[in-house]
Amino acid sequence: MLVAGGFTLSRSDSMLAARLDGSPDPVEASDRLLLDRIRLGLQLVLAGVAIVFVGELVVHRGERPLISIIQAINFAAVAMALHFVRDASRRGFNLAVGFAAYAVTVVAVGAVGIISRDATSPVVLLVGLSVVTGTLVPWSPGWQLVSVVLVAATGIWTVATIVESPHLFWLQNIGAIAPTLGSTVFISYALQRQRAAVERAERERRSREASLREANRRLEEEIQQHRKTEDALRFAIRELDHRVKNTLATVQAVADQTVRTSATMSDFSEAFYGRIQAIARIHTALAVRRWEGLALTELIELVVGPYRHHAGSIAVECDGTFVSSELVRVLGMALHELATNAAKYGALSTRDGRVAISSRLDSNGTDRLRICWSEHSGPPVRQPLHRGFGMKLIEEALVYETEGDVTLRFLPVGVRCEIQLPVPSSPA
Amino acid sequence: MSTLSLRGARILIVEDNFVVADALRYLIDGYGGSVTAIVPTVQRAYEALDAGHVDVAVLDINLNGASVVPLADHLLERGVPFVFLSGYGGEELLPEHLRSHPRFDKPVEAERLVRALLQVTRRDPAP
Repeated sequence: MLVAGGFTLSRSDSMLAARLDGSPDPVEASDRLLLDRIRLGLQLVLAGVAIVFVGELVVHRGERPLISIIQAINFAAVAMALHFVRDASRRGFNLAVGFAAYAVTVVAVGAVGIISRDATSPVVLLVGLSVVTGTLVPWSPGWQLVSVVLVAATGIWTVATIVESPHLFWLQNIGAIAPTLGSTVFISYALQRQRAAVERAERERRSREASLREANRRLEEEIQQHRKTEDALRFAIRELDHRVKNTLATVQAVADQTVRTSATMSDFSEAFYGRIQAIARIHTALAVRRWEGLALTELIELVVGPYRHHAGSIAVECDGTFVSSELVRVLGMALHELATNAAKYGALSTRDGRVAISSRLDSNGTDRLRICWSEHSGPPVRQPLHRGFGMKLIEEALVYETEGDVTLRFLPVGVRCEIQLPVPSSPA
Repeated sequence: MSTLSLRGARILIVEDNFVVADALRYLIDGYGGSVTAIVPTVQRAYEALDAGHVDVAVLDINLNGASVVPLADHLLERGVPFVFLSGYGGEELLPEHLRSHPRFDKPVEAERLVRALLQVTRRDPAP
């Protein structure tokens, strides 16, 4: 279920990303379109001016230098405008330069018309300009049509009037220019609004998609979290199963060995229950600590503490060394055997007997934990007649499992056991 | 007790828990087998294999966090049969090619283990 969900989500996420990153930006596209249209308009105007300029030189053979100069200036202005209108993102600049070139052309055409006392050519040129402007601005075809019809009607009206009364020339010119300029300004305004609407819609779309993506990401995170928890849980259950089985195996082995080394049933039950109790206490303490281990002092208190007659019986002098859960199990059993032996035959069998337990951590190269168990003031000690399972646990188990070193001595003054264990560099 | 006998079989026990390993040693002794060594790590097992002949090995799958698989592969190469002992129920810790080997959950039933040891060493159950 979760897996299927994760798959669907990541798929839709990548589609989203592709849409966001792969598609052209509408705002940039509209800037680009405007630039292209302004440049196309300017190129058409430049071509028209060039034709008029060359035509003037050919027809009048340099007889009217003023007209040629005006036309040359006009040509230069439009060419300059074309040179500067290049960057699509400089929208305002492009519009201003385009209009400036347009205005220069209108004035130049008008001036030439005045100087040459010819109204028809300027009107034709102006109508051409109007058509260029009206059709090129990116506007709806209906409005373009209206613009062109308006301009064409003005042009026809102007020509018709001028034939009757040439002295009204300027009025006609203005009549021709006004609707063109008016429509252009209006078109520009409409474009501005259109562009703002497009930008707003785009911003909204992006913010919607961004919040969608954010929600998606959070969902993905949550799913990951769930999956981790599930894995951890599954691992914990398996670990628990492992520990239970190992513990049962240990209990079975302890029972076997205890039976083998017990002379009577009561010997067996005393030794066996003591061992099981110690294992159980260690287990409980480790479970509370989530199997991370125990402080050495805590472990000593757990397994040796129950044999204390009074506060002075057992003196513990240990630093805060922390013992891993694996080591706790085997070290705890060894300490338990030392304690039961002391309680049965050694210093803890009398009120006056004392046990001193000390430890220190040697850190040269690898860390070694040294624990010293030392009994005194108890009954006189005799060398045991046979090696029981307890002694085996003390002397062999730690050495076997940790590659440590254990020396157990039955000195006349009391049992002395020195334990050296390699421990991983300490997490204090 | 049954009439099963491991007489003459030299057996290596690889088990990280001393108490369990020691009990296994007694168990096998009880059936007449001879335990060449009990060892807690794969490294120690290699040393034991070099030190003397082994007819069959009992392998704990997880040795204090380390996998016994490299040792099992080594035994396969040497042609030494083995059985697995595991605190884990599943076989997920073992690669495919080792899953057909006998595997016992802890705590192990003595007779089943002994029968398996006899079977992998192709010994007669009753001498």
